This record gives sequence, C-alpha cells and structure tokens, in this order.
Amino acid sequence: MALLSQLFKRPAYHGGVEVYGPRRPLAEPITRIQPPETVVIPLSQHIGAPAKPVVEAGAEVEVGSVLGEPQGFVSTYIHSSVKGVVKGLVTLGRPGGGRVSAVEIQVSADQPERSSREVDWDRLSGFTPEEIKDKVLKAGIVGMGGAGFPTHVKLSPPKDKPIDSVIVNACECEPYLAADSRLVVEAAPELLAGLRLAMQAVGAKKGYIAFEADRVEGIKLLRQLTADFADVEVKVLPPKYPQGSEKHLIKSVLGRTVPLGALPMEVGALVQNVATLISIYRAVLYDEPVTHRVVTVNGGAVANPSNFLVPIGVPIRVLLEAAGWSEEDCAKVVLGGPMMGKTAPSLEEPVTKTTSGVLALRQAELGPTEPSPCIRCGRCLAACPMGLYPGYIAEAGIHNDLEAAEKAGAMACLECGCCAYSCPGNRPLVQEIREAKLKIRQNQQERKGS
Amino acid sequence: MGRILLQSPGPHLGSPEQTRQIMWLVVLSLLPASLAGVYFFGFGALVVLATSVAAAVVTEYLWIKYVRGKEVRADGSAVVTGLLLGLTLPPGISPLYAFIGAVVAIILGKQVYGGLGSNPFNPALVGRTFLLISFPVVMTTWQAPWDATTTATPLSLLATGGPLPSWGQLFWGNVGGSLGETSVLALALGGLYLIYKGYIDWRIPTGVLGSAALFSLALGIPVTTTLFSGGLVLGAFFMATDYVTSPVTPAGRWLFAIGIGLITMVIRQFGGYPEGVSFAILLMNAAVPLLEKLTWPKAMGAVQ
Repeated sequence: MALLSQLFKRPAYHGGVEVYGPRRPLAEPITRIQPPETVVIPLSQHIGAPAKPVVEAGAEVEVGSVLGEPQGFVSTYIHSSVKGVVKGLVTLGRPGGGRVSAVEIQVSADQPERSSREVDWDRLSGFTPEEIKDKVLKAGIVGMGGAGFPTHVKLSPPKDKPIDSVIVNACECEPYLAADSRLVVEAAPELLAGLRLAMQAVGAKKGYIAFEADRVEGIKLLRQLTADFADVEVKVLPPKYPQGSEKHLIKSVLGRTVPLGALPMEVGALVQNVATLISIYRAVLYDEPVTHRVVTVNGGAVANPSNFLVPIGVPIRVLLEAAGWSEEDCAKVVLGGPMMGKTAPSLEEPVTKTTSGVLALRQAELGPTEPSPCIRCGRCLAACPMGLYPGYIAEAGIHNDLEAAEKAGAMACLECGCCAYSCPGNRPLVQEIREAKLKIRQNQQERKGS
Repeated sequence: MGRILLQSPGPHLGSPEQTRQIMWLVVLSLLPASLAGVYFFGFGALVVLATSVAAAVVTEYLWIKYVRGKEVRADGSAVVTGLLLGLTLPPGISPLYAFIGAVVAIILGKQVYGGLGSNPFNPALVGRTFLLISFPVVMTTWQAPWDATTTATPLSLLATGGPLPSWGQLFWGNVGGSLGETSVLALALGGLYLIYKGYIDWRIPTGVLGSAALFSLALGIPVTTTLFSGGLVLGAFFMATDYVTSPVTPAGRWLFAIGIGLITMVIRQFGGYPEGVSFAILLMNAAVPLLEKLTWPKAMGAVQ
C-alpha cells in the first residue's frame, strides 16, 4: 500500500532519473587508513580564495597544526592531517583543470590515535552563534558533500534572511557512494549534536534529517534517536537522483522553491551534509579541525568496496590498493560519484575535504560513449530536474548562439548529468552546456568591464 | 597508467537506452501489424514490405557513404522508415512503387535535411504522399482480404454511404485498406507495448484518437468507425509519435496530437480524399517549432 501511494503521489519536483549502480558498501564498518610516507595537502579544498601558507620547509607539525590561513571571508583554514615534518610547497593539477599549491609533509612513524567523541548534550546549548561560527572557521570546515563551500559563510546569513529550518542532507543520491550513509549509522549522536549546533548558530526552529527511502538502517536509527526531540524530524524521500541537490531537497522537505539565481537562505533554509555536521560538532566541543574524512572506494574494478577514514592528503592510490583494486580491469578513476564526479588527474591525487568517493570503474560500467545525432526524443527534457531543455541549450552553445542558450536557462543548469545519462544518442550534453555557461559568464564579465 | 587516467567529463555512466535499441524495439512493435497484413493479404504484402525496407536501407547506406561521404552506422532508423512506408501501401501494389516510395522517403524525406534527427517531416509519410499524388490510381486500388479481387475501404464506404463492416471486423482487420493499417488489434498490441516501455509518449496517441473521437461524437459519426478504420491507429501510435518530427514538450505533444486528430477528421469529412491522417500528420509536423515555442518549459524557480 505504501508503495502504491508512493506511486501515485505527485513528485515534489520535475525530472530526475533512476541511476543504476551498486549502493554498497553499507554493512561493513568504516576502517582507518594509515598515511604513507608523505602526504600532500592542497591549500585550496574549498570554493573561494586559497589559504595562505603559514609553514615553511622543516617545520614540525602535529595533527591539526595550521598549514594555511584564510584570505578573505570566503576562504578557510587548512590543517595538517598527520604528525610530521613539512618538506615544502608543491604545485598540483586539479581534477577538471587548474592548478593549486599544496603542502608536502614527511609523515612521522609515530601517529597519534584518533579519539572517539562521546556526545556531551549538556554542553551544547552553552555556545553562542558567534562562538560556533568562529570555531567552524578555525576548524576549516567546508561543505563535505562535494561543493566545498566554507561552512562559516553558510552559517552567516544576512539579518534580513532569517533561517527557520536546517536540513541534514543524508540523501547521498549518487550510486556507488555510501560514506555518509555509513557515517549516519556509526556517528548518529554526533550528527544530531551537529544539527543542534547548526540550528543554534542560525537560530532555526526546526531541523530535518532527509533520507532516501532505501537507507533503511539510518532511518530506523535516527527515528529512534529523535523520538524525544519535538523540533527534529526524519524525512523519507523517494530514491531518485538528484534528490540530494540542495534546491531539490528543500523542495521535497519544505515544499519551498528556491528562486533561480538565489541561495537557499532566500526561502529560510540551510542544508548541511552529514560529514559537515559531524565536523561542526567536533570543532565546537573539542576544537578539532577537519583533518580526516570518510571516503567510499567502490566500482567494478574494486574487489572489496569499502568506507575508509582517511587523513586529508593521502594519495588515492593508497585507498585503491587497500580496497584491492585491479589496475588492469579499471578503465577510469573517478573522484566523487559517477554522475558529478571528476576523473582523477593522477593516482597521486590527494584526498581532500570534499572527496566523497574514489571509484575504479570497468569499461563495461561506463557503457556506450560514442555520440550519435540527437533524435529529439525529449528524454533530456523529461529528466532535467531544473525543468530545462538541455538538448536545445547544448545545441545553441555549439552554434555559439549564447543569447539563445542563456534565454533557455543555461545558467540554471546544475550539471547534474541527468540529461546526458538519459540520452540514447550518448551526446555529451553536460560538457556542451558547461562550455556554453563558461562563454556566457565571460561575456557577462566583458559587458561589466566595458 | 595513461589508459586508466582517462580524462573525461561526467556523467561517467552511459545511458541505459540507446538509439539503435529504440529503433529495433519500434520494428519489433510493428511486427504484429506486419504479420497481420501478410495474414490478410498474402505473400504479395510480404513482398511489398520487404521491398520497401530493403530499398530504404540500401538507399540510406549508399547516400551516407557516397553522397555525404561518411561512415555508415547501422542505427535501425531506415528499417523503421521502410517498414512504416510499406505498412501504408495498398497490399496489392507492385513492389516497384514500394521501391520508389522508399527511395523518396529516405532521400527527400530525410537525407536532404542532413539525415537522422534533422528532418522536419515524417520520412515514411513523405514517401507515401509522393506516391499518392504521383500514382493516385494504384495508390487507391484496394485488395480484399484473402482474395485477389478489389474492394472498397471502410472510409470510402463511409463517404459513399455503402454498407459498413462490423466493428469486430475493423478491430480484427479483415477489411480493405493499406496492408498494415487494418488490424486495430495488432497495432494496439505494438503501440501499447511502446507506451509500456516508455518509448513513446502516451499523450500523442491519446490526443489523436481522443480528439478524433470527440469530433465524430459532435458530428454523429459512429466513434468505432472513426477510430478503427483507415490509418488513424497506425498514425496515432507509430507516425505521430516519431521523435524527430513531433514536439519534445509534453504540452506541445498534446497540441500536436489534437491538431492531427482534428485535421484528419476535417479532411475525412470535408476534403476530397476519404482519408486524411497522412496529410494531418505532415501539416502538424510543420507546426512543431511553433508548438515548442508556445509550450517552452519553465525552469524551476524562474520568476512567474
């Protein structure tokens, strides 16, 4: 019956797709990865200005030592994830293009244990919003779902945009990824404490924890734990990609539509990722910065799909080896999920605060890629969660008709990939739209300049 | 090493549906109607279908390879065009006409515009309309089922006031007509399968058949005769739903379908031809850009 009512319920938003792919690993506990001899910690793991390096070669660092300080408001701290000695600054290629400076650290043989943190509920309410935001900044917390937007900025909405609801994004809607879903199960009290602190920081009256319906274990656990909380509610949403998109989550949970070009605070909402909230809790109560994160290693070329707790800066090669990957079987290595993740530029690519997953995919999993002509089937339009006609925008972009592309809503595109995933002609729609957006943005800047 | 670190943009999972697979599924869904045609009209019908498909495939192959100088990819679309054209021809027609129609369909209906995805008009209907205008007599000479004699189609009977076949006959398909249009049962079987698979939009057949039914109710024509005779069911499920030549927007598809149903009825009732489905679809094909413009989707969160 529940299924039937689900079937006939009007979806909260247009479009979205079911993505086929394994949702494992969930059952196995998160295991720790030991750092190799050196780690490389990028100074920009977030949106905004890179951090300014404050250590020099030869400096001794502990876990949590500051390596970089924020430059400006939209920026944040970078910390060491290991005990060791700074070797110097290096330059890294970024996935998707660009370059970034990073601190290379020689790792000491004796590494401290990572302490577990019992939740101290009584101390939570003692923190003022200012204290919370300051500790969040000092801990270098950024959106750990993938976007990497500095969290202290998100917690500081202007006075005329009051926030009434904080939503925990426990959707993890891309297949293959399971880091957050496992974290929910293992650190539920910390997550709830983090939610409490985020609500306190912005003065929100209500908290929601949003799951996709197939995350049964987490739903059950959080329902039990929140039974006594009048102001926190577990929301179960249909498993559909991109359910975890901020705008679509807000629409599904609160029924509010974020206007195009505006931020969630416009409708009184704040969305935070699971790992981010746990980091907030640890930062506020224990002044513990973000030095580690949970990473899912998965894909057809991986023998033992796993969730690892990884020090920031460890090369992905270490993770892939720990999960028993077959380099021979692997056709592509992806950082993040299979829909929005980027291909890894090298196996030495370090894990950052936003690395939710490392996927080693077989050729067979990638499916056909050779493009054929658009047959105007309309699948991209039906799939677009933003309600756009992606095929048209891509076509306009190819022909450099930027005005048409912009008018058709190119800038509203999330680059979620629903269109390209649905396209029977394997057209590289996301790439084409991304290029059109880039050109439109350049034009806008030129117009501003002149 | 270099092989693994292949750099490419997301999404990294390929589409579970492919153009070729869609085309072959359409061919599969046309099999019941094709078999019904052969069952009712005999071996001659099979020759017509085979000629039409073969001519379409060979013409497409030669054109792409030698005129456009490109590599030919077997996407199955020429098979669909050839088969659809064959199904709209009189069963007793000489295969020569099927051949001419298929060549016209592929070249004038499709390739001159740039091939798959670029043609504004349904290629099979371009081929059929070319034949109908050029060879009106052979295109309107109808063979009776299980018989070499000629007969009238239900629609010409309707126009001339002759005795109409029962709706059971119309549903089953043992009446005169184009070789793939007579069996409503076989057509619906294939069409409903395509809807079930999500390969065609239910709005289009619903709109075409629904608007034609309402129109006949208004004029006092028996609805079963309207729906079950002539090419309406074939057109509604298989011609009007052609992706390339129908709107992509859901609302546009409604308007497109309703337009087809109404124009068909106007031609049937007031025009010089007893049947008007092909013309109606071609006319509405021409309106597709306008319909899409009228029904352009609105982005989530766009200002009202």
